[in-house]
Amino acid sequence: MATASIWSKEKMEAAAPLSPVPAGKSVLIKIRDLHKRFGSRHILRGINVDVYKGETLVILGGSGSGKTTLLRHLMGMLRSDEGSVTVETLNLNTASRADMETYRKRMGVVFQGAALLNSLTVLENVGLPLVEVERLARSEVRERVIEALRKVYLPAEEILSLKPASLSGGMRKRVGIARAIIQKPEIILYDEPTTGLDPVTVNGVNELTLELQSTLGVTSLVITHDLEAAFKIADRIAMLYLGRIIAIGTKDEIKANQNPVLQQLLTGSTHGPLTEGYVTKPDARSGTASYAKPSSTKPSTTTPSTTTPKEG
Amino acid sequence: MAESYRKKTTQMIERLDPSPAVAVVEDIGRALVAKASVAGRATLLFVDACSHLRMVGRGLPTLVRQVEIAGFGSLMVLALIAGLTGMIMAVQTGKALEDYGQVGLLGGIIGATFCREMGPIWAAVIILARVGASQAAEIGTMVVNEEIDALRSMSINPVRFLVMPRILALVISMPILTAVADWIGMFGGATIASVTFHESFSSFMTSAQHGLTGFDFFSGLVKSVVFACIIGTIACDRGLNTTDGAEGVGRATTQSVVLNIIFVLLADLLMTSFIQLWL
Repeated sequence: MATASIWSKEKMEAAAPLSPVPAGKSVLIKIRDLHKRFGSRHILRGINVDVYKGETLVILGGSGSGKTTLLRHLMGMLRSDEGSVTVETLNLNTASRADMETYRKRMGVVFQGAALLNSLTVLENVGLPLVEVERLARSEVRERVIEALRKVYLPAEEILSLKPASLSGGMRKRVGIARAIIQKPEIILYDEPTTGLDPVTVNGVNELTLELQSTLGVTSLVITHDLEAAFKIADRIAMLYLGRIIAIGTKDEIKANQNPVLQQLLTGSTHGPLTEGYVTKPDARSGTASYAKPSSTKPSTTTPSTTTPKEG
Repeated sequence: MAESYRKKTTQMIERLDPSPAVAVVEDIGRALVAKASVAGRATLLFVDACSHLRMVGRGLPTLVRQVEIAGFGSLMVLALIAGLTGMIMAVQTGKALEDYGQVGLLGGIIGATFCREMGPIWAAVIILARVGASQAAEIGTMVVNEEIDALRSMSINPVRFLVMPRILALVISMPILTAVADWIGMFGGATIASVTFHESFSSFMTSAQHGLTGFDFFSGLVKSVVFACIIGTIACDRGLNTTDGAEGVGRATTQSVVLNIIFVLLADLLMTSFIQLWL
């Protein structure tokens, strides 16, 4: 008979322990005990994670799990209430404005909707950091923009003078990636890079992410809920749930993890703690945890002592 | 027992429930605090924008585009409104003056009214409705589309890149628009004076010259510069503080227009009082 394991609320939501840094790897981004509250809402509840230099770490999580809040901390746009985000030796919580400017030059961000400035052309959008921050000459900006657009397989000469509204969703996303890589960053942060795109374009964006990592050697942190994309591009995957990293590891380690929250996200099942928020005693016959809706027609499987409502 | 408890609780709640008069005072107080907080935040934004003025050269293309939108784009509608207002004023005032045989004063009255008050106020109203609202909506949409976040992530300060050129464009455009409104208003008045009251164009202008001083004209231009700062700052502040998606953009636009009307008129009252009573 299989060993039954009861996944209580506490166990499901418990933070995964930090694993030791593997030999040959070095930590580029170190997040420790990160907490963030917005009024009475406690969004991040103690995030602990290391991002290794040159890897692609994918952070999976459902809506409202705190993915975007975490990303905004890494972009240096939010300061944590407790804990720290450190990039090499730079603590983003206490960094000066000058240090942040230097850090942001090392970092590129790919936004969910590309976040291109609608009043500017593709040339102006992609070249914006070169003109505004690096203050390069126009001819050099044009050259670098064309180079960046070609890297993301866009017909540079044809689209340079177009405004973002004239581009398709996939092209806009690629232009967004071109803007993110134009300053040759060491770190690229992706916010839902494949959301809202057709399958062919999704594959294209995934391949591009892999290629950028191999050719530019960048460290990538990808926030997504797209499982297929996650398993295609990730070196490691972390699962964010209710403001904590509840599982982190290689693709195989994540697949083998029995946490019901993670399993529900991986299988896409409509039954489980993510949707129902109730966990019951393990099923006596199968030896696995079983779930029941609050209005279940089988009340016998749910006992008051083990039924725990999910928060939020 | 339970009934008595329920009764006591209901009585306590009734005692806590404020009377309608108290509720009205509370609402007014809350609205005043909200307006004061907007004014405080906008002042900080204005100071921040001014601190980037030395980098105006880097925002030159945006500045030129904004001057074009604010200045040239508003010229025709402002000219029309100023001209019509000048005509209406001439009809109303001219009729009253005719009864006393004082039509010759019409030029001075219309000239002074336009240069001191109507010119800057009409320019402000047109700009806050046409340009201020559009700036709040544009920046609000940029907030919703994460464009402001994208700028910050590239180490581009949105206040320097977006707010400063917009305020500066209004500061450049508004005095020009005010001067145009002054002249077209007077021209409208002169036309009615000539057609209806048989007052020649030259005598209307001579009357205007007598009734006006350079200070009247100059004080109107100073007012217009202050109005430009208020309109640009509040519009950008409302845009930057947009939340809740498309609905929030609509709200920011409405707030920009309403707050601008309030603060422009308030500033006008303060400046007019200062100019008339102390200078």
